Amino acid sequence: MDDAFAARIAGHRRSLVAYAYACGHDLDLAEDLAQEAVVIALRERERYFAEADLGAWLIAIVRNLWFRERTRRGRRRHDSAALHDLASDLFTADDDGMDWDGERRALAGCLASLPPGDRALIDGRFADDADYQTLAQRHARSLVWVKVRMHRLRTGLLDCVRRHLRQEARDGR
Amino acid sequence: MDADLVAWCDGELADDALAAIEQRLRADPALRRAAAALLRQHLLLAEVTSQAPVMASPIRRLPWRSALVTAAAALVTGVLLYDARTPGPTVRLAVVADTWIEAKHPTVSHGRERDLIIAGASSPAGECWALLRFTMPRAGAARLRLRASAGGGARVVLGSGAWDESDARWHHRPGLASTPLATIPARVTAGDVIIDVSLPAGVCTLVLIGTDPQPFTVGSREDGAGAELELLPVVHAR
Repeated sequence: MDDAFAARIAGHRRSLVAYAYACGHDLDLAEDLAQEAVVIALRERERYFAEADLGAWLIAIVRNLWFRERTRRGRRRHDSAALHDLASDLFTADDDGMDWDGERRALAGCLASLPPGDRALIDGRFADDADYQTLAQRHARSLVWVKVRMHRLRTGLLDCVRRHLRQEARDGR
Repeated sequence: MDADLVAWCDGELADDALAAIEQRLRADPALRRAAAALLRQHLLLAEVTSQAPVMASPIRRLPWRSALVTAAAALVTGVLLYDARTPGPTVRLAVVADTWIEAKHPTVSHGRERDLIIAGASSPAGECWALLRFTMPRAGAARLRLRASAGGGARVVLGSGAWDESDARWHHRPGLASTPLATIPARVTAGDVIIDVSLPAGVCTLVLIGTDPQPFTVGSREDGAGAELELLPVVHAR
């Protein structure tokens, strides 16, 4: 086994999970697809050329695995062609350059500070995998309200995480 | 950033709106950067809210198993060293179960999360406790090591009663000893927190109870950086 190659592949694993999750909105499936892609990449490493973009190659493997899975499962949410066409651009950042752990830690802190109603909306969407229509019924609100509220919450969480990371950087972490 | 982009990430756009945002994404690198940040957050939100562990290794659940093996090995080693009656051995015990519970969501369990959240009752998050379980090979002094974020302080209290990591909830929270074992001061920087505690032999539950409005987190065993106990050496009388 080429350990250096395996390490390079492992460096992209979180990005692969992120892409697979964006495809299927299913965390277990995303982990499975990313892991399968890693196994395929290791098995097929002879086909990879050192000059090629490793991230784009791995994304292509996940894309093919997702298309196979989508056929088997049938579509549930609206599938975006642009998501797949632009996936190399959206997801190929090497994980080494991303502070996934820091973002995750900061996000957990930001979520803990949300008012209960907002937290319930986020939990409903992500923990329960409820779609906007279901969330609108659950909160006795309109579909537009859910869409706008989700936008405000997600933007607020992005800002909160950035503030936390900046503070950590200032603190020398 | 607009609401359509967030809805696109959530797979909630159809027909005309979907076509419009796709066209903008293809044409606008800045919008793609915003989308990339949202999609990354998308995964993290799913992981944090659904309590799924994130593995650093390509082999899933390996850190969890490693933690168990480490704990078992440390426990066996500790017993052997203890039986050898030699002064000075240092035994490290990995946490064998950990989770956090919250008063505001008393029926929610968080057993598989990577960060354990601790907050005082006056926090906007409401009161949050972290639960840590260790198996002590002997009674005695130990040094508790936690990887903690910046934030408020906490009391460390010995808990009583059984709890299941995968199903611990506020409604069924452990009972608490009347006297705290130690306190964790508020911190302005993240890093290791080390405190001395004295524990009985056998299964011990340590409950970390927030004392300040500002929440903080400690790493969990699913994070591969869970709490550790270092048993302090026993010097036997000659």
